[in-house]
Amino acid sequence: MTTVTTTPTSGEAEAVIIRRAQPWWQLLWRDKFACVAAVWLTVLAFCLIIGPELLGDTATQLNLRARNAVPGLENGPMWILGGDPLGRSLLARLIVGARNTISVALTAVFIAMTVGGTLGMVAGYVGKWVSHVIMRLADVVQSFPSLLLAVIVLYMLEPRVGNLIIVLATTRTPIYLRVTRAEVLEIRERVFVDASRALGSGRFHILRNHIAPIVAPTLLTIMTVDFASVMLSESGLSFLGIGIQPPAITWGLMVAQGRNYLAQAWWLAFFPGLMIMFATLSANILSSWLRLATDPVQRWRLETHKKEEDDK
Amino acid sequence: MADKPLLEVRDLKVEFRTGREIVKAVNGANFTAYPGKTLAILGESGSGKSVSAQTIMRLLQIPPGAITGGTAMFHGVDILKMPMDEWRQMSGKKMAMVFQDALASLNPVFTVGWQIAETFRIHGECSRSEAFDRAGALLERVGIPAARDRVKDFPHQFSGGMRQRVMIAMAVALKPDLLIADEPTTALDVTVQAQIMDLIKDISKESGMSVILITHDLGVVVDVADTVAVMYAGRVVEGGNVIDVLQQPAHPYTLALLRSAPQAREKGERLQPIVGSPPDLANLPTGCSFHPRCAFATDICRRQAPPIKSVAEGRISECHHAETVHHEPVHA
Amino acid sequence: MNPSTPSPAAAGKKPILQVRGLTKHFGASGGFGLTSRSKVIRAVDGVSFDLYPGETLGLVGESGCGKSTVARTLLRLEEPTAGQALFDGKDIFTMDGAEMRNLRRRMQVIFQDPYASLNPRMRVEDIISEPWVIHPDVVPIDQRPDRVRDLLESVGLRRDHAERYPHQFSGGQLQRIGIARAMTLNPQVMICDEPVSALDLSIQAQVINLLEEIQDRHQIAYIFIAHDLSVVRHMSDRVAVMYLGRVAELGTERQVYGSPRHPYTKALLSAEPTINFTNEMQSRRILLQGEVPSPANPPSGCRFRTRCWKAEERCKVDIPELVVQSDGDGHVAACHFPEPLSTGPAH
Repeated sequence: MTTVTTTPTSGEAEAVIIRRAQPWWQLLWRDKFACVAAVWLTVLAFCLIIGPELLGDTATQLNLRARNAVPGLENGPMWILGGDPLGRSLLARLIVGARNTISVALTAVFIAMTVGGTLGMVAGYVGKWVSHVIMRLADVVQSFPSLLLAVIVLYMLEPRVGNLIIVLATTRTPIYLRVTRAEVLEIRERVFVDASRALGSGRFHILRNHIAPIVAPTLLTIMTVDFASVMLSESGLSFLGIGIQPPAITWGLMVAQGRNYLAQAWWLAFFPGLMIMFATLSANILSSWLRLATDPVQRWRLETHKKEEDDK
Repeated sequence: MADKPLLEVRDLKVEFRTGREIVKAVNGANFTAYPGKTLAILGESGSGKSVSAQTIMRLLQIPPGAITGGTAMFHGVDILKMPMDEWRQMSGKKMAMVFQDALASLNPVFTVGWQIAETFRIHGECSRSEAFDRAGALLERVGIPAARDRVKDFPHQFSGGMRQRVMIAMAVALKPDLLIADEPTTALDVTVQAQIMDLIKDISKESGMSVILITHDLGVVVDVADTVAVMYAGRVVEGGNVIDVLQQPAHPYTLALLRSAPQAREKGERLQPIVGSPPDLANLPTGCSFHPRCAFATDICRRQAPPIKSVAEGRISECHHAETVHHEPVHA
Repeated sequence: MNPSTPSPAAAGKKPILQVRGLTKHFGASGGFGLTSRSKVIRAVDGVSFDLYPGETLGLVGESGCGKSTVARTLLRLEEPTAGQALFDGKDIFTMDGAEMRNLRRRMQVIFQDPYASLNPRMRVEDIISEPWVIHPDVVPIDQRPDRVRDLLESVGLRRDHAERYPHQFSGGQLQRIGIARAMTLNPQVMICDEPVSALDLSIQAQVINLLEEIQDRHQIAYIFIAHDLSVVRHMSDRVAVMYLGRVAELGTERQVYGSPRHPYTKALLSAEPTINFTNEMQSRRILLQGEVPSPANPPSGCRFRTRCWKAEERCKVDIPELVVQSDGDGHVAACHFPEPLSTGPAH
């Protein structure tokens, strides 16, 4: 895949390894872990979009014979992962639950990242005073136990999905804010930012063209890690009765409900937990891959990784 | 050169294996240090000069580095194959090193006096107070003002030049036979650089210590060294007495370096640069590594690696056209 | 004090840049309680010089002498504490946004570290055309790809290099890209902040030649900052020697290098290792004692007095002004006891 060219230019001979730019899907195919992660996330996206329409009825259908049914095929294919205390299909509930779970967590994390990232850039690049105000606000939010904050806010407002997302997003925002600000403070001292300033660029130009592209992959990585903890916080709030309420289904809620039966029916909490773990893991793997693929200095790791094995 | 060599490095080869390629940092280097003399290893970044020094001092990180060949005979023993604990006994006592970055080489949480005293206590059996006394005397010797009081200071309380003096004090504490100085003045200002170079010269003269000075600066070589080894792409391409080599170079690379130096040209006169880029150590050219940038290159240079030729008494050059180059005036 | 006497090379021309009493103190305005007590670092203290169109003014000195701060302040990457810098008669330090944007087109910069001064995530094409994104009226969008490639060729690179990322180049090539970017707006003044210090000797000469070719072709005035005396000597028409934030001596290259009047200049020149083999040079070496004092606590009077072999009581009290020396116009030095004029030839 690599060719060595020696071409003299204006009295200058040079030997530079030229790598043909590969389309992203080829790079993805080369990294099998990332590939599996991408497939899994696609499946989840599929569940998210059409799950409730497809299996909404099955997920609420009671089957008293399958109460706390052991995983297996005795009660039909839908009960392959077992049944819940009311005999509803665990598999169907997991698929239907994907929409609530992922959309709540994803929206919350996305809002936290956008707000935190923007405020962090402002705090890092604009004047001292603005920065101080923003950072002290972040201190206030962080010094509050996040669960307590959520409880207070959700008791005062209604425990609706929208409010839940806002509360979850608020408690996560300071992390993005701090990371972004720290990175901005470091990047703004780099020489290429000075070079851009000397060319006459304004703050917005520098933030958009030089700082944001470097901060974004870091935020993306935090986001994937955060994804899991937001799903779990959501289940905690649901458990306290101020989050998403049954009969709505979320994975976190399923874990919470399943905990009571851990001794008799471990699968009730185990499979939703596994779903949360796999979703997070896939997002994490894919984000590391994305981080490499978007970094021109690191991209070769993906390109040559497989090739060396082929050569042997 | 009637003297017996102190350190004789033959055909040294060092590689670094990274994810995608093998970088041949040192590619068969030969050089010799004689007792009481100063040998300068001159080269640009990537020429393998620092890696050679690190390898001899057994400081090479393995992996990713690997010594793939060669010997380094010191006092009749090959130090590259010496067991590590035996080497530790010897390093410091017989051979010591000074680095470019003095601040990074000193431990920030101990006083400089403690760090020098420790050198004595590791190797010799002298008491704590005696070691401290000797540390103070050493700092005085390397020209640190109020040395007896400053033994209790920490590295960050010294200026760049003073730190380098402390490093030199530590290196010569046990009166080694050989001091390897890796770009000791590159980070310093010219006026301080002159002070440090003079100090190294003085100590060498005083105690008969040999010095291997690794540098990229032609001026420093002229100033300090007796002999010089010019490195390019991991090989010593030319060696010999400093004045002979720099007045009548026998390798096109040395010649081109001298011609490109701005000191010889006045305003308005264009410099004569070496064309092209430094070699890619993972994809070295065939034949002579310098041929893509060489004004003397012919067909044979592309096909065949040049032999080591002796062009005059004590002068070697690795070039097919060494004799022609040798008769070329430096400034046409 | 009149440092603006034109040198022979620039006689009759009007200076394009007049720097007067430029001062930059760091930490002078502390923000919150704790920081305000920290020491003031007098990085630049009353520096004045002129720059004429098409000439090269060398700025030379050891680390901490303030030469890079002068550059950063002139570019308004730092705000000055005091002083003026008249570009074509207009003070840079009081310019508003629009005037500043206009000035950016006329004054550009090349940085020391070619790796750090280019954004590693941008392609060369985007790096070189960034100035046109900021100043959209200079080159129409559809002509930019072609112009980028023309510029690459003019600095000795290939047209297809535009597609690559910085990490695929060597240091010398990156510096060429930096030069190409600085040329995009056709500046009249170029501040070169140690442009070859980070490069290998064999590459230095290529870049120096390129800078000289560009100057010949476009008549750009250079402020050439370096610590390497021989590089500055080769490049410069006139040279200013700086010590601890002040100009110690200023004159034509011949005056400063041929018959230095300030003791510091003399010591600096003698300490520079050269590849001349005459022993005469060696014997005349002046070994300065000690190191440059901290700019946070500079000596009173003449700042060089702590290391000067000629220092007397007067040097402690009186700050020496830049005084015109007797060997021709434009040669000024700030010393109470200047060196005698050298009797030998200038070289």
